[in-house]
Amino acid sequence: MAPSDTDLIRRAQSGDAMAFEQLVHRYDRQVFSLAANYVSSAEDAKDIYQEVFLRVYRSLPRFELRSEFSTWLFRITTNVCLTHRTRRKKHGHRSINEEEEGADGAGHGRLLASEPAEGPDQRAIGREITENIDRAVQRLSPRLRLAFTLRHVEGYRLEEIADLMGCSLGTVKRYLFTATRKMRQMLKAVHN
Amino acid sequence: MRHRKFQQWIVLSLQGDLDSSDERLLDAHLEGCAACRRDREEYRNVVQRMTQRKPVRVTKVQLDAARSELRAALRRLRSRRPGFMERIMWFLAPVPAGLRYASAGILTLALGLLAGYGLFGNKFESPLMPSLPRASQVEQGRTELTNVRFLHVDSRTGDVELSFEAYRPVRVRGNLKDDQIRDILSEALLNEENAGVRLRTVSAIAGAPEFNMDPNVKQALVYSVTHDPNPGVRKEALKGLTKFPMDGDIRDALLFVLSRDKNQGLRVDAINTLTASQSRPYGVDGDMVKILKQRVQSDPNNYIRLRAKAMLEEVQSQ
Repeated sequence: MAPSDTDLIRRAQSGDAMAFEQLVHRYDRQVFSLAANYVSSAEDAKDIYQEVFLRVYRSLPRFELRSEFSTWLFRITTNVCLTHRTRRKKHGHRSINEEEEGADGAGHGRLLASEPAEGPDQRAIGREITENIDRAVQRLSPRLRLAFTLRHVEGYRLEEIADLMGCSLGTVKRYLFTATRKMRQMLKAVHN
Repeated sequence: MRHRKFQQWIVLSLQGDLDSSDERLLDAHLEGCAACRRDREEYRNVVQRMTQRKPVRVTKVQLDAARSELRAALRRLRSRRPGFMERIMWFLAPVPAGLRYASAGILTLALGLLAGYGLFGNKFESPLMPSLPRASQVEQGRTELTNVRFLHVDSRTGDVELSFEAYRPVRVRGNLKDDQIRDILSEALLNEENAGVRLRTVSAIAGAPEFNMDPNVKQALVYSVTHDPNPGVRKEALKGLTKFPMDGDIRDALLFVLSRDKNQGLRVDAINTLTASQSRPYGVDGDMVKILKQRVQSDPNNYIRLRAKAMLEEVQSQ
């Protein structure tokens, strides 16, 4: 039977590196996914991923198991996302999807919900929609972008978003409304 | 203002986040407001497009790369000790500006006491220190305090609360049959930054005359053979694994090396070990067949292609 989070945390707190690694492996795909959907470049997503787990490592000795480990971890993830500064200017922009393509351009299962039966036209339209929305999302302020990503990409409930972002339910509603209103304006401008 | 509230409700309603009583109020408003109805159609269009957006899927390759970088960063973090100024700055950061001078005085006193304890208190035993085998413990260095953290100070009463880490260099002589020695070596294999030390560690474990089938050692070797950035360490770890009876973990590690390792020598060792262990019971499944087929088709090394082909034929004939 797999050890519980509590067992792993206690072992990690007493210096067991393998227990910490097991904890990381239990949750890191979700952390990476949130980061990758929040920023647009693979380098930035990796930076966020690393910063999150370094903070967890440093703070774990003081973690008192009063809350769920996953809640604490994703709260750290949202904080790191909000304070993250993009590396795009230094390194040149490379999207996470481009990185997936590989040197020979052969992508391998890079996107969710890519319908096997889709024809080239639908794929092109789908790609265009995704690109337009991605561009519009990247122009939102960090808090609006994070609320948008948590709700529309990661599927969190409003109460959970409020908890993760450390704000009230009303504020989350306002963020989501403002994000959608701005997206509406930006997408309207693209189509006009 | 009133319309702005309904606009917010429209968005919440389209997202499925509006409660039923507000939903009814919104419907009543929309019946009489053509402007809000138009807005609803536009917002519906936007929300629909947002749901059509395809989220990024993180692949195993990306995750492995991120894990590998994290591991390297953790190694650096574990080997780094903060400087004096860094510690002082850290201590004083949470203290209100008005209390900093008083706090600094108390803190200096507390640190002085702790340092004196570390210097002269030979009986100092940190609960964090591993319990080493008494008979083999030959020399202990002076305890060093690091990562001292300032948790609480009361400048009126002089009460302080600190946390710190105590390091003590220890020299031990023991035997690889000893559980605690093996635990220390397994830990070094996973966390030591210096590749030379990791190589000597894995060689010591793998080359022991009376090899002990410790599951922790096996896990450390599996981890090293699949994750260590140094090919020499991976090779020694693989050699160590061959001394264990074949099981699912070892088989998976060997398949991982065969399919992923860029070093041809290691891939050759992996397929040789897999082939040699065929007489022993281990699982043949879709993953193994897939990897063998992949090697037959695309491995740049002739020997690996031939061995993979022979093994594939044997596996398929069973």
